[in-house]
Amino acid sequence: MKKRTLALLLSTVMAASVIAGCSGGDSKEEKKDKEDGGGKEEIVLSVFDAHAYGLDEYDEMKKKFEEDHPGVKVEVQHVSNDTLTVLQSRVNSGDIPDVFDIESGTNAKMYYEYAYDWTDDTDVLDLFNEDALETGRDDDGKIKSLPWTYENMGILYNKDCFSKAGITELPANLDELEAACKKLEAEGITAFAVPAKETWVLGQLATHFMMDKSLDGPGTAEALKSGELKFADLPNWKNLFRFMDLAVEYGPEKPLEVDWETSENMLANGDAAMIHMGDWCQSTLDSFNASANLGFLPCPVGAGAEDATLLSNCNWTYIVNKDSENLELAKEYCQYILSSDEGQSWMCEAVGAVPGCKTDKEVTGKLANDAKTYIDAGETNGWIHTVAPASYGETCGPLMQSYMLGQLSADEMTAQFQSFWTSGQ
Amino acid sequence: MRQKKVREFLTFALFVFPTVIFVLFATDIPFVMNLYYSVFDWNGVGRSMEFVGFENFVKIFTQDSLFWDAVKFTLKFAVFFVVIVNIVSLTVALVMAKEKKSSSIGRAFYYIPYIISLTAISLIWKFIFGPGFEALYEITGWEMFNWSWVGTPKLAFYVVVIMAVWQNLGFYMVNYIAGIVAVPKELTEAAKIDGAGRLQTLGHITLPLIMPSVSICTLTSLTFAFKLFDIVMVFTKGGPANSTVSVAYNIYMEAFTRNNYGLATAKSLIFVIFCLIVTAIQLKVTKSREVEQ
Repeated sequence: MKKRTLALLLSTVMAASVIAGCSGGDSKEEKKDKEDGGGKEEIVLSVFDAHAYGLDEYDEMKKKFEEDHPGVKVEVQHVSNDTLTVLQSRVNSGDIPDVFDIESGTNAKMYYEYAYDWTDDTDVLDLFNEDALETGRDDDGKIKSLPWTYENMGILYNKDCFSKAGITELPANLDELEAACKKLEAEGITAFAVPAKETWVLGQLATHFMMDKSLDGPGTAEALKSGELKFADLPNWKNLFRFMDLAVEYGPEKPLEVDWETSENMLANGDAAMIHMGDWCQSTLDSFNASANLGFLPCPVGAGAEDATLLSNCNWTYIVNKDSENLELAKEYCQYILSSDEGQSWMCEAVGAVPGCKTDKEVTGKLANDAKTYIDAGETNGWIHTVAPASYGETCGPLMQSYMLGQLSADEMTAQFQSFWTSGQ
Repeated sequence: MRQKKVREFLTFALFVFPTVIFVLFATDIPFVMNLYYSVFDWNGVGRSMEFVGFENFVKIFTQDSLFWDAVKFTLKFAVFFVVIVNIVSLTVALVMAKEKKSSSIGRAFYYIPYIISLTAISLIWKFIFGPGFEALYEITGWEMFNWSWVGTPKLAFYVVVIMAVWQNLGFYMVNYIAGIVAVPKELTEAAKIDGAGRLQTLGHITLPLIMPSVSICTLTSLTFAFKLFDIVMVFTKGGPANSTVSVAYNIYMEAFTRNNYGLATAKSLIFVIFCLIVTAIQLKVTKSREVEQ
């Protein structure tokens, strides 16, 4: 009998703790709020951020905002992996952040129905560069999100490897690229370490060869989606196959096992001369070898230097939830991180990228500065992969892997790209 | 009499209800919601959904070749995984069931992979297939160490099988050991006295008596194989060239990167029904072989 009572008691305790566990989180927070606010109610601003760079500086910036706004607490969730999945589940469960960060284009457009419309806030919009604001424009011409920084992508090359192999002029077409590969090989340097394991990188790589300079990025994407422009008719498309052949021939022995980390490591340490990537990886490259001498090589897609592409875009964009309980505060915070003096130092110095807002600050990132010379010369074009049909990289990247493995012919791959772009299948 | 019944019910409820609540909220209610979403076209984010009836199901059967590739992969994986993991773990269990000090160390060794996190596991295997195999190739000169295991579709399949077996071996081993230890000693001893060899004892005494363990192990390994997701998600990302996309991974991609939430729930429904049928058959077959002790 005693045993039975004990068992009952124990299981009651267990059951109670289970139920308490479910609600535990809330009650604690409530208590804390009451203590901190000293009787007054504290306003909590919830922010979702997708970046993993310059976190310490971000925290300082956030603290400054809290000091200037007594009684306001900013709760930031930094999610740099599976960003979309986490954001989607938060929105689905009704826990929509007041300010959130997402890639512009196809992804951001899904969330525009929750977004505050900035179109009439001209004093805020004046703080940003016009072309950067364009990335936040919806189909009706309204500005639904504010830009973060410019990101640039193309081929990154190790200048030391090139000079060691005696390459003095940057290859501007594929013949010259092949010649450069041969010179590098003769020096015992792996010419390419394209991260072919990463389908998103392959997807990005392919967009260089879609670029139609008479239309620019979004225009090219629109024309491809509507079927006005066909892959088989793209002037530089066939060069993609030659490029992939070169990347396999002059690449590492197991090309499809190279992930982004390996690829960046090889480049930074001079084990490989070229990869495809963007300046967002500056801090990773620095962590592998801070003194690496790297630069951008516009992707040689056509006949000469004027065809070569460096694609540049204000990629990440911040949305303010229009139904936020603290809308004014959320707007202020969004504007603060993206354009205030503190925000500018975060972007220019901690992240090292060129911000989308107008700024006089020096940018620390070497690659970003390198890209800036091309931007200032007007030689860059917009991104295609962010305005492509949803899951472009995850669907088309594997097709390119199939080509590299010899499972698909060039024509078959082109046909499958075509059907994905026009029908989304 | 009635009071006793009430009391019994209360005791029963006390023990069972907490679990029921969990299962209800984590499995059953989402399942019912799945039924609802599967007839809509929804991107998983927006406020509006469009009712499309059975269009999602029609799409799966007529247009979605990637899904059926994933089904083929998962079935092939299930066959390999269930057979290999059960044979290997049973063999290991037969050795480790002896009560020696060395066997308890051995048990711990085999069980460790089961409790370490998958991120660590994927780092370990990244090292093995990378620098590890390179070094082995230099020492032995065997061509198999120079193959691109993770970068070739055919080999990547075996990579997933090997990783899954390696990781789960310990769990099934423990199950089998529990069964083997429970086999009455007098039966094996009697067989020995009657002149039965080791293999004969195993085949005629031990195996029939541990059939409950066998059916539990095959059932759990089968469901594990059908649900295969984490290794694919963390290690191969479905690649190269979609060669290791499992059904669960395909559904996840459909919902969260292709943003066809309705289509994804329709796929998961089809797969649930399929799994139910297969496990029911499997249970029936193994149950019929269990002997009463």
